[in-house]
Amino acid sequence: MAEVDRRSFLRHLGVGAGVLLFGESAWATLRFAHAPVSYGPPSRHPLGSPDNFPAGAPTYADEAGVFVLRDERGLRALSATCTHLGCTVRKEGDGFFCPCHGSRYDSAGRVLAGPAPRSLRFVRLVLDRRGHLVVDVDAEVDADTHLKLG
Amino acid sequence: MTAEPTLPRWLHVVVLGSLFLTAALVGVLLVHDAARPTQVEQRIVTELGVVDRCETCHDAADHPAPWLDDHAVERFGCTTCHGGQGLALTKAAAHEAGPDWEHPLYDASEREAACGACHEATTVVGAPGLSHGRALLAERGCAGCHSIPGFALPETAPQLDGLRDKVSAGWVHAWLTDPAPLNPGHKMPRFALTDAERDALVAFLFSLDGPALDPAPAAGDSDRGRLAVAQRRCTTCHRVDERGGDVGSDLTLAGAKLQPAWFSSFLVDTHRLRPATRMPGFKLSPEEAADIVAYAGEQWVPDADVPWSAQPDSVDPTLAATGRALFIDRGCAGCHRAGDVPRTRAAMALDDLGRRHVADLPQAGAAPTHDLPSWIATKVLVPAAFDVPGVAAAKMPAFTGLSADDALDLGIALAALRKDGVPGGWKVHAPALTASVPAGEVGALVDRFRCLVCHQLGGQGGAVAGVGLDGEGSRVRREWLVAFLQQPVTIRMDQSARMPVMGITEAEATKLAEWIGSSLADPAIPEGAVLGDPVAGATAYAARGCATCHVVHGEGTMKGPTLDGSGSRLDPDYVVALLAKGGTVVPGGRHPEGGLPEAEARDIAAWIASL
Amino acid sequence: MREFLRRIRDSVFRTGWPEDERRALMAMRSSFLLHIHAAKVRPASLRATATWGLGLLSLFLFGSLVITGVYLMFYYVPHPDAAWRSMKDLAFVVPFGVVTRNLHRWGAHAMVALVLLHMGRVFLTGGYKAPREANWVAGVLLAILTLGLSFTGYLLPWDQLAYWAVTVGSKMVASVPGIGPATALLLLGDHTVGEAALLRFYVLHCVVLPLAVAGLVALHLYRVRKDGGLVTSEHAPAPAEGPRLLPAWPHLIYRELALLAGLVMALLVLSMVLDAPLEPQADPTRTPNPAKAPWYFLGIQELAHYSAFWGGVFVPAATIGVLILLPYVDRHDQGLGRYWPKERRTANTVFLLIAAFFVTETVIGTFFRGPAWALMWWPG
Repeated sequence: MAEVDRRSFLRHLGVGAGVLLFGESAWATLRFAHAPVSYGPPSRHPLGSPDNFPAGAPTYADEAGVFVLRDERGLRALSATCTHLGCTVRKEGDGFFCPCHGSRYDSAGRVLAGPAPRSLRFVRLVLDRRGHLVVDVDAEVDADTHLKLG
Repeated sequence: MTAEPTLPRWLHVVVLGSLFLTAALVGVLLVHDAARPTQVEQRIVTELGVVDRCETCHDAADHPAPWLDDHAVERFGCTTCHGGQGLALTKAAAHEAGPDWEHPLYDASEREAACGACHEATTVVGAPGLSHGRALLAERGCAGCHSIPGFALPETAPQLDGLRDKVSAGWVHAWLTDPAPLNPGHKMPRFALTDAERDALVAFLFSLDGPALDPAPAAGDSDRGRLAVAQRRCTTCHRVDERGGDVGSDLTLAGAKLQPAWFSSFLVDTHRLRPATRMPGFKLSPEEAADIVAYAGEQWVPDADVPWSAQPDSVDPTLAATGRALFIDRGCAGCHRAGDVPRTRAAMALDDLGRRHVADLPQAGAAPTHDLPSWIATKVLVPAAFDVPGVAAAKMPAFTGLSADDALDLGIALAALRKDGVPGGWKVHAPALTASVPAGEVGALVDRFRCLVCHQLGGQGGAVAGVGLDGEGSRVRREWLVAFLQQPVTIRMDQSARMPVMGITEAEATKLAEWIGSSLADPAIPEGAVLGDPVAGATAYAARGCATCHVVHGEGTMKGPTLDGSGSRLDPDYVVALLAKGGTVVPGGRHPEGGLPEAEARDIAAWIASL
Repeated sequence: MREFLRRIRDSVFRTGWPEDERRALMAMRSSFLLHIHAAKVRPASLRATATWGLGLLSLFLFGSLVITGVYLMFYYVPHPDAAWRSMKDLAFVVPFGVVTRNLHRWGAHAMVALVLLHMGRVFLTGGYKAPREANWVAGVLLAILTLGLSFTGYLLPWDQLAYWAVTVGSKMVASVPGIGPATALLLLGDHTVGEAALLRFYVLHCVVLPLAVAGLVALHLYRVRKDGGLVTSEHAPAPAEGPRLLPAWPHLIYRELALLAGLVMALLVLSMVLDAPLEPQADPTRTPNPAKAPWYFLGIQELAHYSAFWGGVFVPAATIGVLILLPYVDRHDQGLGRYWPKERRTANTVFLLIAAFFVTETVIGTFFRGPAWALMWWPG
């Protein structure tokens, strides 16, 4: 009886070690597959002097794909990527319009009509050492965050 | 049935032990991995082949100013200037050399060499070693033997036609053995030649015919000769007894070196005997020439007996062919014109030197160097240190008068040479010339009097004269300039170089002054300035302390130009502009930068115009 | 719920954990992975000295190389401008990239060594004789494919060693009269080692050769069964006690598991301790002096030094030819299953001499050859 118990104990021990090993390997594989190796376009784009972006209507920054909004509290950057399926929205009247499936947004990026599931994202604006604007299109911020100037 | 054997115990140990140990080891790996930084900062500049992860650990904001203002990290990455392994994420792998990465972080000299990969101008702001190295490359004529991008065949070595009329064979032998005692300021390197090789070279050189000489002069007056030398200001360019300039050769021994007939023919018409010389085209009278020759024969001679003399030695003409081959093979033809010998380079091209790996190069045993500029410096200082066994002995001559710093600067300049190293959009080309010498009569005059050997004009020219010619047309009055060119006077006491008296005629001077006055005007100086009150100006002059640098009526110091006679010399528009706007009106000048109030400037200008 | 899970488990593992011999035999027969084994085996074939597990280790290593290879394929880029850089990414940026690469590299070296040792063992025990001729030929082909996998994989890092080793190797191929240049062109896709060669070697290394190996291995294992199992000595006495045949489960299977677990552990320890080397990025303008082939080809390179054709092409080709023809020429069938029977002393001696010869050439090439392939005293 003891023999069978020991054998069964050893077997369970072995299987346990194997399962542990399998779990560790699975975790290591997941980590392996998520390496921060990227040779694609950078997420940070220089936008030049803040003077390029006057108050009033939003100004489009072509290379970064963002609209820069200026009001009395400072500057914000609104991503021009439609939240439905990723087309680039364009200015229309006070707000924005996506030509792909007709989503409409107001001047603050909130959805007015169409299949877009959420409002346009605001992304982070910072100033570099020379006082020029840099936008990070991968860093979302909330709609109230302004870059204060002066 | 018979009993079945059980599994041996060691099997269980192996299986369970291995499983657990493997699980433990993988666990160690997982823990180790959790401690690594997760955020990797990358700068990728595809055209430069740069993938730099330096900012994972280093903050670009901490970089010392002002480098990043003009060299943004986004455009250049980090390793372009600093070297090292940009792909690495550990300190050791990024900074040091390893089996898979041969270049550690650049030291200061390699950094400057990296500047030179893009910046092509001779003078690069912020890279003093590189700039000095490039100046040395031009000065020492390295491009005479080695093909170096941006450097043409040097034209500073004398033409050797008719050498037998000029010096003795003994002198040439002595010169080829070691130029240093004969001409301390020389640029010619010291070649390792055997006696037979020297004989052959002398035979070749003496076989070349030169222009016919004038008949030998009658004996001249040595005292008049001394006066002539002083008045003509020969020592501006020539050194005698350790005083004088470096542009021409040392004349201390010229009386014994030069044959009198040649010497006087040369002075009577410099450019007839030596069309390519940097010396201006003097045309002395035969009497004056004879006087100078007499003076030289008396004073410019060695104190003791020397092996060579002015009398020609015997020369074996059959060696001329050998000598000609030697002349080409050892690189003489790269610097000197001689007969019909083509100007060819005798040594390897250096246009890709910057890409050589020090690991592949021979090392001088005692102190191996690891970076390319130092290796080049060692080679330049001691060329024979790197004889590679099995390869013919190094032909490279020894360059005297180079300090270790000079050699390192040369190393920096040469290590910057990389063929196809940098894409065109990154290169900063040498600035284009902003002014040039005109063709025609004025051009012929400028060429004959060799203005650009001493003066800068539009980015080219020499630096013997402290004054450049750009903008000069707006600074001085035309009449004064015409008189000055015929008889240069001393304006700046603190400068040692004095413009030689070249015998420019009034007609020639007028043509030159016209050209300077019109083509070399400074458009930034407004015309038609109204002068103010000279009395107030005199007071302001004293109050502002201008006498700190200027002399007026014997009072003041001589740091700057004298202001006596400025009324006839200086253009009042210029004086007003200089005083009102400050020293930036004369780039490279030393006038204080701040300007004066307009009214005060006019008053002082008025007073100066009265001097 | 437990019933639900049990039903799922029972659908996959039909016979359950074998608690007795009958279930063990059923498990062996009905399992996909296990049924390649005989249900019962001779006790003599279970002894470690029978085969030293060399063939099995080679197979496990192949599996490990496939797995680690697939991992590496997620980051490796087979283009000259990106290959070396992707190796650096694995080294610095990818979690466990260093260990994965080490596992692959050390596994590859181990596989070449073990495959050759396995061949040696089979020869010494006469395992090539009838009815095992075809299996022996399949094994020789597998050995050649293994060397081919190593050779094609060697180029992929695109460092100096890779580039110049393949350049040397392709020159050796091109020196074969007649078909040489055409073969080299086919291998390289161009006249020099470059983008085309890298891509071809990548495809060969990751697809063509592994598939060929897998197919031949399947055949190889199948024939082991069909030809009567392992060669064990006919002269060995039947066990004094105990059954004549033992069930494969657990006696054989557990031993195989031990082998696998031990191998994995050893490989992992080695990979955590020793890093696979990498040299500077390939530079066609700088030839390292000397340019050496990988160690398993150094013997041939040493021979090629004496004569590019006779040493570098004829001798290896002749060796392979002899190996393949061997079972059809050698018809004696005595002394099987033992390492040094007197009937086969000559054959085994000749084999060991030839092996020693190649080992010597390899050692000379590795340690005693310096710049310009001149002889030097190690370390020189």
